[in-house]
Amino acid sequence: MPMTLTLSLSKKLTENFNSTALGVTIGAEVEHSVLADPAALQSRIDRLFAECDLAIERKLAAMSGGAAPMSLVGAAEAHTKATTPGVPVAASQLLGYASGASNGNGQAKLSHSRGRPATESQLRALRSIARRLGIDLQQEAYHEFAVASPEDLSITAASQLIDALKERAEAAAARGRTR
Amino acid sequence: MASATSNGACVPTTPRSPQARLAESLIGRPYISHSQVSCYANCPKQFEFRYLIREQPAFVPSSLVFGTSFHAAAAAITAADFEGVERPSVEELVEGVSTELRSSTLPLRFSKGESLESLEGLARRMITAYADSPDSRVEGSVLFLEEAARAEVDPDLPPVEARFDLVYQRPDGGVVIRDVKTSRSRWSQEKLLESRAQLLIYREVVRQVLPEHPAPDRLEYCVISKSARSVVSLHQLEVPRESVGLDEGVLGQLRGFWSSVVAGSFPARPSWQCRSCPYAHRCPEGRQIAQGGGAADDA
Repeated sequence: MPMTLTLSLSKKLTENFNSTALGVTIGAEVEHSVLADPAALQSRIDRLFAECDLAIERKLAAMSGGAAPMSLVGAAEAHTKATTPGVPVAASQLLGYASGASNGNGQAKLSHSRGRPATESQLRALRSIARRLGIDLQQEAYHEFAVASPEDLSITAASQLIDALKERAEAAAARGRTR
Repeated sequence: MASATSNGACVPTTPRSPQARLAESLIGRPYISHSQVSCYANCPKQFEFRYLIREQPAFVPSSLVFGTSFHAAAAAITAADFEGVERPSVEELVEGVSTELRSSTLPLRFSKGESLESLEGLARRMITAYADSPDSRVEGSVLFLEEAARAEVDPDLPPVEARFDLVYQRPDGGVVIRDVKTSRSRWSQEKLLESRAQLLIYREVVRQVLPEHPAPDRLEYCVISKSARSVVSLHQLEVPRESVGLDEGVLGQLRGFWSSVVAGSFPARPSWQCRSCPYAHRCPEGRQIAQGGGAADDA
């Protein structure tokens, strides 16, 4: 007998003492071959939950004018039930309810970086060149770019500092050769 | 929107998009990558075992461990050049490859006639050829070396992760993306064109991750052959700096892949490659071929 997998997912968005909750229920027929394979069944369930999640996220984004939610509290349940062959499975059902209104006081707690941070390979190169030159990299980064540590350099700043230190290293090597 | 990742750790700069969340719930990571697309193109069933079901592979192909450890050796050479220090010796680098091969947690599956000793010999030949090649010397400033970054290349797709072998800025300001490949034989022009999608995707990621830099104008594959006499060859693709976004062909490839994953379409694609598939024991079609009973042989 064909089986129907019914899943429900609900989410609650909480921000500035206001909350918005949305739920979605989806039903899908499952072949016997999938039911006999626990890993494949789990995979199918994951995919259906993912579809529900995407539907809720889109709805929440639309409700908040496109802004991504700040925090989400999710709850989910899944169960299987037998169906009569030929009976259509219920289509996705979107159940939405909202409470409270935005008071406009919310501030996203996101850090605003001044550019992409230096990559690991840039930092490795900086440390290595600084070691060779016998200079304090932290001081150099502060002196040239007013950042507390080399890790705070942007990719562009790190590139510039690498070039500057390499020039200094080459000049030092050239001086060493002429002595 | 883009974020740089380092050593596999993501540094998100924005809240995750719905597509990123969908990807995370389906494939356990909030992004797609070129290697996922390749895996799916090779065999959707293998993709399902690897990324969705996350089945433990029965073994790891020796070529995979060898390739990864060779990349690490090539990166060590490049890092030393950028830092202006002496390169590690060939013997030190071969030792690194050997250690990786010997410390694999999964059983290694060797190709016909291969052994640990023969792979160490191959590593020595390939590293020597690479270190001696003028193509291993790059001038400029390192941006990414064996690192990853992610960017949103299309609103209908999860972010795309690029795992860079090398991205650097030439002294003339141009940005270069280089990917290192080990190959049984030299690359033909056809192979280069077949492979261009990977570098075009990487270019779009770099363009977004490094908005203050000029967009990459040179994409390179540095191919080191595994032949008896290892040869290093550099294949370059020039791209106009002003070129923006992915072309429809590459975008279509990514969209097709992702819609198939979301739709749950994972048919087995039986071929001679099933014999080296670490999931063949779980796949009815693959098992038959791996055991020598299959007719599929499109090699």
